Amino acid sequence: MTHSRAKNSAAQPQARDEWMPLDNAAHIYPAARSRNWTALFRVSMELTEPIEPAALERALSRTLRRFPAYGMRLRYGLFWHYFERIAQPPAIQKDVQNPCVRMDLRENNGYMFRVRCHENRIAVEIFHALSDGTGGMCFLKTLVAEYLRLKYGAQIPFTDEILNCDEEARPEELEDSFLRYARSVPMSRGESRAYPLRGTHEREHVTHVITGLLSADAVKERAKEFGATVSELLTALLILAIRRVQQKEHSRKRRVMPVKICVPVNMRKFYGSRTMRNFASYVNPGIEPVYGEYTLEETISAVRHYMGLMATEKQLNAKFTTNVLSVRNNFLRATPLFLKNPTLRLMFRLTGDRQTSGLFSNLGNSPLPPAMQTYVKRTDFLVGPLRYNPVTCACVSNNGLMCINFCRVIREAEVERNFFTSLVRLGLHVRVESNRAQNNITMILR
Amino acid sequence: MSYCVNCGVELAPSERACPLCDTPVLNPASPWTEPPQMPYPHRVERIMRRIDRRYGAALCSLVLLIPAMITLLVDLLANGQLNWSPYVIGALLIVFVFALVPWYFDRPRYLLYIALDAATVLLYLAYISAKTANFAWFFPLGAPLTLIVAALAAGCVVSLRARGISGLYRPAAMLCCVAIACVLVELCIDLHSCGSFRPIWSPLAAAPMLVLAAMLLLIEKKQSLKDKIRRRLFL
Repeated sequence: MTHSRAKNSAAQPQARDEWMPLDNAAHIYPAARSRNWTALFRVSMELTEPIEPAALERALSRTLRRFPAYGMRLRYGLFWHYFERIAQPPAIQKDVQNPCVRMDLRENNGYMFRVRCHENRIAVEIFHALSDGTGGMCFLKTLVAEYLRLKYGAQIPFTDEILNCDEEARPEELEDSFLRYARSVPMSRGESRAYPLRGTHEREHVTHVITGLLSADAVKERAKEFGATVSELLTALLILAIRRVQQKEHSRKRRVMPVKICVPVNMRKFYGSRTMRNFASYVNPGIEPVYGEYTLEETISAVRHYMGLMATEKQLNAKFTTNVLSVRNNFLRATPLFLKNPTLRLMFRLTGDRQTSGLFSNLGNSPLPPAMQTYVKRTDFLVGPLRYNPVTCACVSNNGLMCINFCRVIREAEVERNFFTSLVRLGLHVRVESNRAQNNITMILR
Repeated sequence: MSYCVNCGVELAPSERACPLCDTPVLNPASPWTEPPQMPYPHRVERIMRRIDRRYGAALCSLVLLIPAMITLLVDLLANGQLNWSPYVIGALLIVFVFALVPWYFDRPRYLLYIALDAATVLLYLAYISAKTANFAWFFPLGAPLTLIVAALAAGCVVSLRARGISGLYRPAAMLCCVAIACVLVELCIDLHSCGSFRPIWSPLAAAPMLVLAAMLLLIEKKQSLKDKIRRRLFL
């Protein structure tokens, strides 16, 4: 369903603006970040040949012209945070073993994203205040397309996701779609508390990444056999993977807490929005083990019906309308930022990660034009660790290859193991790789 | 191409052991060697601690020096000698020990903090006694009460943090500590004021606490009762 009529049009930022306000979903991220944690996600592409950093730097400076919101730094205002344009260019960084580790917003000239390369891979790590996964993937595709044009002279056509860097950004790409499409009736944020995953926490800079590579068609076929979509099947498997961990809890109270997964939903498809900033909401499907054990079929059914009921335009609109109305509240607007920040942090603690046991974000199939696909071997999407939940899962498919990336900050890989072995039991071939330093394994093997 | 015998997943050539279960790859046909391309580089990004707690504590200590210096100067200029300023400086020293000393430690050492706090308060009270040349209240009342409060705080810390104590045993142990502290406080006051122990209020305060502690111990031992109470108190 596409809503052509804008109900809540407001003064929206323009490409040449020297500053712009944060979008409605972004307000929470600067307040919730801590010394060790920033809400980050990472999109990357592996090319067929090694990356040339000089060409990538040129491609990045061209790409930034089309994505002016990315060329901004976060500043403190009296009442709100805001973005301010940066004159200096960003640097290309070498990739690291621990992706999505806390971003210091004073480094890299204040840019809220970092472009990193390693051998054949170009990766972009983005602070969530800047954009969501869909916007980030669009930025990466445009960047890689520019790089391929500069490096190989590739003739890559412009699409909805590969933008023309010779043109100026359109106003609709910079708009805050939350403000534009919010209505007037809010919905309560209250939800029951979910089972919180626990484990042995690693040191603050340690992030474990395990990637599972599967045939996208095989997963789709298996999902169809269950009468579900790929997202529903994978969400159900993740719920059951966490449930198996929960069953080992000593406390009865913790053993029967609901297991819920936060699944972000791209709102652009409902409104035809072309914004490159945040425009996603979420649903929290799950199971209630207090009523008994769930089979895979029952879990898929629970997820499918929950999504059918909650992942609708009306419900999601009411959900983000709640946030928009809060921001429009005159009392809240007039409250100084130093008072707003702790309040937002408290809200984030009470209604954020607490309501879910983990996160599953699926960008779906991310096709590339054939002229670009010949240079690209693989696309990855990774959501950095959350503030309170230690395990996240993100998925994207390209050219028939599905990459499922788990990111965790605890030592135990039980959730990943349960998840991938479930896929193996469904008859799917899974290939795994990790970011573990192999010389450290010698100690484990002894 | 190797598979994990435990998980059934294929392992990328970069994996020396299964990342899911740590089972090593034992392939006699091709022993593991590091491939030319690894999925991630060896370089690790470390988080630099931007806030140096010790530096912050030193800075706050310097800030505390400002009122200390001012009172010292005012006292000296007004009276020509140290008259009342040592009391203020002593109080600031207590603030320093209570609030800033913990910042100098990397890990929390609660028992050490309590010992330091108690020692500082004792020193301060002893100074006041010496300054007023009146130790009549210090030894029978001031010092014992300080030690009782410190022992109570230490008892609560041990009850909360000891590994052997869990569940409802923790509040039970804390209640016992508070009950004992009540009796000891009244004992000190009585010995100081009338020379003998005549318990009046402390048994009234301690008895319900001890009964409540006994109830908590019994409830903790009976799982079905715990579940029943939880059910009844369900909100």
